[in-house]
Amino acid sequence: MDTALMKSMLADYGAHTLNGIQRYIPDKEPKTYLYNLISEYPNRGGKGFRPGLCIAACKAFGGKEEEASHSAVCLELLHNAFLIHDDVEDESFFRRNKPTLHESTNAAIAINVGDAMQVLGLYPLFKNREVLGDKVAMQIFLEVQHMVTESVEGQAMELGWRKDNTSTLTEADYLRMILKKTCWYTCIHPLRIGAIIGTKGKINPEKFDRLGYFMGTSFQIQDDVLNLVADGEKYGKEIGGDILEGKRTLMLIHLMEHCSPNELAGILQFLSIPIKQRQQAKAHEILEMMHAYGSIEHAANTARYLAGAALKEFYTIFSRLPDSEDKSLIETIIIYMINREY
Amino acid sequence: MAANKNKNQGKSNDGGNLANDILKGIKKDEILSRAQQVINSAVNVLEEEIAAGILAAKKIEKKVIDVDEIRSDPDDLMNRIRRDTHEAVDLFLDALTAITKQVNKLADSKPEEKTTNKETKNNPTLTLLETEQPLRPGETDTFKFSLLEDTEKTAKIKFQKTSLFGPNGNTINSTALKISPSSLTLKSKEEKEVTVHLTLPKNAKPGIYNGLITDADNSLVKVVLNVEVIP
Repeated sequence: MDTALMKSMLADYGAHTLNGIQRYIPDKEPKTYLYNLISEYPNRGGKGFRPGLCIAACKAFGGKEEEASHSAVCLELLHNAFLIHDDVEDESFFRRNKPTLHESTNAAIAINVGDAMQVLGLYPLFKNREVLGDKVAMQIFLEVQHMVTESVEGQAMELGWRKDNTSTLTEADYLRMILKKTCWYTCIHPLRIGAIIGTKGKINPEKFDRLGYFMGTSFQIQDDVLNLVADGEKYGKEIGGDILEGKRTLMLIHLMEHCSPNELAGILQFLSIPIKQRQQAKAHEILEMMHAYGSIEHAANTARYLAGAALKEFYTIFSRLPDSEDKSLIETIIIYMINREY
Repeated sequence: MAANKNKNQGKSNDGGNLANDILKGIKKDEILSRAQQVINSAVNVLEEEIAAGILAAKKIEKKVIDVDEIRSDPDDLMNRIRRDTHEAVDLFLDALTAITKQVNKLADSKPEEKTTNKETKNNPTLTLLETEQPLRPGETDTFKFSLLEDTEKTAKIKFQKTSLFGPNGNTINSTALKISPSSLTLKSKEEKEVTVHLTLPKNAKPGIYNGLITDADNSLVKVVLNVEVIP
């Protein structure tokens, strides 16, 4: 499968899920500062990995698209709720080439919209009972409960590092944070939920943990690398924004481990001042140091190793299944993660 | 297993070939050990996290429902029952207070009973006496109410009083209440005032207390005393 077909399939599954989201938004007031803003982020056209992985895994294991649609809606609602809150917490300015929701409205409204999306995400899980039966529906409920718990724990780890201006992080710390904050909800649980639905609850979902973990870490590290080196127009976020935000990326951790004590003191001083007072020039200086110390190359290589490990896991799990477009889609997503430029 | 995997990779499409190239590229490279190191380190983190998650989930299960532990510790079970019983009694007393307040409000709202704290002996009405503000241990307060004999007969009344009942089984002994006069005679259409003097003991525990004053021989006279004690 080529990348164009992959994107087209993801777009189809994404559009299907977006339609599903619209059905769950109440048609009543207050609209201007709540319900009209619910579809603001989903409409901005993300890559649609979560619903895509969920629906593809479901179909690859013999299920139907409509059986996974409620779960895909839930995943997408929760994902976008996280993005809104994440942007507030990170004080980000842009999301997918547009001002973040708290920039276009304000932080209070954005937080409330995120809260509403989390609540709206509950009802599709309830509706799962009608399509999948009580047992599978409850299993998926617990999958989502675990997914959200891990995500907020991972977010807390990262926010804590920033608050305490932690300088002693290791690669393992970073991997743990990414596993919790990103992997469970971007890859592991969408795959697990899809496979549970496709097999009507007959599969051990833990077999997807490594695959989703390798995919998720690879994707996130690659995403962080692209934040520093990608074409801003294609990427949709401000380039180098992560450095200004003080985000603990694998590159920053590598740099802090390898730079001189003086340089480390300079980085820590930069990270200790409030985001809005940080100088772009100093951020550029840190970016140059990341290049000089090979931090970006190290991270890009790590992302590739992990993507390779994800492919190996994929073949271990999926090779016994009959060939299908959806099976190829998952494989192509992994390969895309290795090669993507934005 | 390995043969199967190779077979599948061999017949895979363009993406599969690319994947093979990547995997081969990694293997040929001198950095194989580095890749292996990264993956091993990553797997360790995953295994640790999964183990921690399972442990935490089990602990929650134990905390939420641990029937075996409850059954195996009879003292704990009895303490739970005692606590629950106390809470039930508190709830009952709170409900009683609320009801008496409501009854009193209803009584107040009726025009013919505008004379608050006036008891007509032939109708069983409830009078609520409350402190204007909460009292501290050792403090005193005085309440007044009047009784009206609205029949043609003469009535003799002898007051009796209960202890004051508070939260968590706390009580204030009835000796804290002094009713003056302790007994009285009402002629037909006669009205007399009664004074209740409360002296809180110094060791009174905080909470809302209720006591009852009645006529020893006549159930038509009922006065509820409501006192809030603060630390």
